[in-house]
Amino acid sequence: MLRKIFTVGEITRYIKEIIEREELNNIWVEGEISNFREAIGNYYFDLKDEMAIIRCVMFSPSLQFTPKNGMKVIVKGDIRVYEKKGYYQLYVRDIKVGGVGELFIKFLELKEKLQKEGLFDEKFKKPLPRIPSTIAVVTSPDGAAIRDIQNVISRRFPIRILLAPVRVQGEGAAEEIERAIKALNEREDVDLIIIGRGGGSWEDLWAFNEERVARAIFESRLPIISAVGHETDFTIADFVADKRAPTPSAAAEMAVPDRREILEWLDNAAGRMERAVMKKVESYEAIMERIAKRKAFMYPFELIYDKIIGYENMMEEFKRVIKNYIEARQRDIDFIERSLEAMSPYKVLERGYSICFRVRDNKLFSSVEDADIGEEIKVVVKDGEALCRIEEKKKK
Amino acid sequence: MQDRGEEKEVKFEEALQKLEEIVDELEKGELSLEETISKFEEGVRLCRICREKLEEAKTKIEKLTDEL
Repeated sequence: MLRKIFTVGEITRYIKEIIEREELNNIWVEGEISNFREAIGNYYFDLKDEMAIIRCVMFSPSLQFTPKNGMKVIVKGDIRVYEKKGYYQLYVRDIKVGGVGELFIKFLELKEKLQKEGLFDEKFKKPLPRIPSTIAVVTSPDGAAIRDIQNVISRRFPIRILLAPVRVQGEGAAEEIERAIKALNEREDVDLIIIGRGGGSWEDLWAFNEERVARAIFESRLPIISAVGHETDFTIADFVADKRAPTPSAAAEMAVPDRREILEWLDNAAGRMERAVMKKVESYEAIMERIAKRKAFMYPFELIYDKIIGYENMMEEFKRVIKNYIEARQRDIDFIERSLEAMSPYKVLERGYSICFRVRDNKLFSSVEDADIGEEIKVVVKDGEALCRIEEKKKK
Repeated sequence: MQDRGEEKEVKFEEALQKLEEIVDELEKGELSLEETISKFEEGVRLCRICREKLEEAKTKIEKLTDEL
């Protein structure tokens, strides 16, 4: 069909373009590892099944385990053509152990579904109680998880632990975990739930990837810490739970504070309260002292001193007014006296006049009619008086 | 935890929170002398309760069976 002679480079480029399509990017491939080798920090191996084999390379791997030949795995990566060598290979980005391809797909699908529904949303995460009185642990009664939790709790902050014994793997485990979460939510005496188990294979942890468990966690009124497996294992339960702990021990540490820290804080609090009270008392003492130093207390006489002065002043004023009044009246009297004196008929005697009285009744003799001839008249002059007798009367 | 007397009925977390509030209030210094004294007394009481609770605390595991 193509009447053309290609160069090697051209035809390889052509093949590369066909192979490196979208649908071969970010794919999961299940198979068995063979021909594994490590070189300069990278992994090289083949992934095979009964039908075929595919070259794989993983650069700077950060896995929690070292892959081995014969290991059944699912790997995630992109198909790329290596032009220089003329072959295609899978550039691996992640490897999951176990012949669990179907389960893993289910995990991814459920994770995507629940994420879309918002079950993992931060806004639904409930805060943990600061100091729970009772925590409930949903786990196997025989597993290491409950022992680890008990150890951490009794060391850090001993409280009551309610164990809801469940199977954590195998048939019916998810139902038991779901039922336990629901039953605990009916109780009044539980503050926090830890669900979990120790590490295990992908299949062992499966119960914690089931939808019913995820929904029970989401609907829980009580806050839940999920602690499933080891550091690197993530389950659906971890995503839905209010907090995810890498191990059951870590969950216990998250659940309770350290008793020693609180004891220290209490010691501190007692001292702080005492200092606060002392400060208060001292501030009142200072106020008292200021008040005691006020004039009223230091020199109480001074308070009435002004009044005394005022009273004395008033008395002085009063006396002065009275004195003035008396003096004024005195002057009036003097004046009147002087006026009267000036008007006194005797005064005229000084100027050479005389006054006459009848001797018989000592009445003023001021008219010829007042006395008869022969009657005695007293004539008063400035320096004495003379007794006279009327000889003759002539009327003007 | 064994409950002895009414004081022990106080939840530890509530007692601790109340105590924190009291310490803050006292340190603000805005209370009257009477309030200061009564808060201080309550604080000392809460301190004692918290300490006793902490010292008495023992981990006890109870296994649920009926409900499950």
